[in-house]
Amino acid sequence: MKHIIKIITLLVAISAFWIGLLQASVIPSSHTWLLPIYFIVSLGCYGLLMVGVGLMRFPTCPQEALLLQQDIVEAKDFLKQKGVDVGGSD
Amino acid sequence: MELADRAVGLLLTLTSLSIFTYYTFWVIILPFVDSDHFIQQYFLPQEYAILIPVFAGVVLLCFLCIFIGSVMLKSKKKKA
Amino acid sequence: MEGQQKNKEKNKYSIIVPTYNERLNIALLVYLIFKHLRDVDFEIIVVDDGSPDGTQEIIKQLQQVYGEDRILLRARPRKLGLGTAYVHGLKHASGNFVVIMDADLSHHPKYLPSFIKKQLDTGASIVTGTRYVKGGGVHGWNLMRKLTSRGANVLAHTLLWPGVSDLTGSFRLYKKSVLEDVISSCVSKGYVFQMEMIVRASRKGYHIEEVPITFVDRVYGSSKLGGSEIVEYLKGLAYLLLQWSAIRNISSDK
Repeated sequence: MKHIIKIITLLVAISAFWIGLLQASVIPSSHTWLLPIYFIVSLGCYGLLMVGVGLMRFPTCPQEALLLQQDIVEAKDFLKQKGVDVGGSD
Repeated sequence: MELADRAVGLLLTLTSLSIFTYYTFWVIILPFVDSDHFIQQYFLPQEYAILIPVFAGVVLLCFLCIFIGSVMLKSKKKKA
Repeated sequence: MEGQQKNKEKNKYSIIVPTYNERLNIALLVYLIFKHLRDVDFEIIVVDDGSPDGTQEIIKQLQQVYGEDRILLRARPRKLGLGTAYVHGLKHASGNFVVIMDADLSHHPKYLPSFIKKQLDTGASIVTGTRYVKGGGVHGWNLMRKLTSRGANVLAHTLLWPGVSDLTGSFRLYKKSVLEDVISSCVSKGYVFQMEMIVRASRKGYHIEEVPITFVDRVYGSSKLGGSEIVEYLKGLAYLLLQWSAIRNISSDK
């Protein structure tokens, strides 16, 4: 199945539910009209929240950069001994 | 640097949570509160609950379109 | 345990590394791979896109040190893109597992044993390195880079439900047959290609496992992420949303 169809199905289900609400008028219709916008605003907030949380908990590894520098020095020493040309380009 | 980035993350999280809370209150709860209740004075009339998000959405969409358009134009120029 | 040991001896890993102007990095990378993969049968396949900086001469020198059967140079005449580089390398791979990684040292070979171990433990078809979990991490990104990366990830997860936490990472271990299967249906370029690979693989129902890796952004040279990369990414997302059914129908028709 196309993935977009899954998403559309989901949206259709939600709209059906909404139209049902509109028809049944359990709650005032002026109120029901606001729900789609509420849904979109919620989605936007969810996205912003996830980006915010992701940024807050973004894993960083400054020590890895140092370890890598050590590895590079070690590798250069070894390769020079073996006669591989590692000088020059930096 | 590190801390500043995390602070921006926290700011985004708080912004999104407060927008969500405020909007939920505005749209879902307020209609059930009496119109002469003191809390009503802290909220704009209901029609703004539609107008503001729609306006923001349109602005965002325009921004996105302009961004994509300009990038595509630039890459086309590069190729030519 | 014994069976696992046997497996370890039988398995061969082909490490495909596409290069373009990486003469220093590739030498360092090869050294580090040999340092961290001691008791494993493997070969390194360097797919060089005609680098003018003498990358290929360095490879030949490295072949003298490590042996021509361990380091294979499979050059191409000019820059032909990342996706086809893997296809090209794959043709020459003799192992039953294939590892793909970048040559610029942003992927450290010290994680290779954890990839291999994860695969042996779980029998997964794909083990992908993820930067966004505990034990993983990124170094050298500014706020803008972090923001776009998080935004892109949230967007992809909301729209595609891939079940993998790091879509655009390119440090992965594949069963050779799986890589051959998935790569044949991929059309994207650049790092959207990495996303397409993993999304397609997950939709085809392959067993995917993750291991944490750290990513130290380009020690030499600089990585770029501008407007055109973002637009490419959005196009890739839209493409993956729409394109799937055609491929699926073809494969189920067979």
